[in-house]
Amino acid sequence: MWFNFSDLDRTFAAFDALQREINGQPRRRSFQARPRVVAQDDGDAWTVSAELPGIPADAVELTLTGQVLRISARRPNRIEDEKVVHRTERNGFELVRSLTLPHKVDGEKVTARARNGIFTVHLPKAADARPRNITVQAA
Amino acid sequence: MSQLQTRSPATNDAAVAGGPIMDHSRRANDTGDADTREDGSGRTVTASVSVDILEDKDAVMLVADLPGVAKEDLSIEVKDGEVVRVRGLRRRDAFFDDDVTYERAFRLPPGVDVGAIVAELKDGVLHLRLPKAEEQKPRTITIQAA
Repeated sequence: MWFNFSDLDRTFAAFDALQREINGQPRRRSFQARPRVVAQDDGDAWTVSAELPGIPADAVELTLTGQVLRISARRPNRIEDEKVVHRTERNGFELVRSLTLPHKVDGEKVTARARNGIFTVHLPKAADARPRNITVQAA
Repeated sequence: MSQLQTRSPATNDAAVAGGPIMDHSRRANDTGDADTREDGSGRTVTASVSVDILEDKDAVMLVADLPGVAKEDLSIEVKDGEVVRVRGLRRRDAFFDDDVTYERAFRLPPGVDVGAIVAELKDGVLHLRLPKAEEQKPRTITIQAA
């Protein structure tokens, strides 16, 4: 026997309502159609991170042209036909971002990895773009 | 750089009466980023989790986005054979200045074989398979010729 559709949904909804009451917060979407991207200046390098749950590293397209880094990735809305759908809160998304880095980077040393759905690009700055400590001579 | 947003609890409860479908369309208008809320300490952030719930003849599948949660920081708990609670700790990263706890619980539909639940975490997405007990599966009954 199939689970009764509406009953299942109603149970989930009721429990969520309880959760909201306990947490004192409404339940909202925790993910957006446009994944977030953050760039950080780490001194010797730039780190660019993107939140891409469900995307393995090799499914991200990454190009560096001069100081422009382009990241693209896509998660389609895909649900197998033979399944009964009770909830679809996880949206597909499409990320296409071009970031112009304010420093020259050493293209040969750029590395990227994905861990637990967070994609991270490490872009070491070119030698002449790195901060340098200048020794101040006493007079 | 903090991506955290603090919001006052909106009144969304009316959606419950209309069931999850209505609830869903309403939330589609929400431009919400991460679902975050700072508690009194201002250090712990609890975030909700987006899920898909699907069913086929053998099992109910719960798929949840948990970006940034490592396997060792994820716990899945079935309480009294009735409630399944997913809790994941996302350690501070480029997006969050503090650790974030993802948490959500569901009441299990009757007929789930609790002992046979299988969880897999892959690329920040949890796949929870809740197999139906044998007597809950659809069965074809052969009609014998007289």
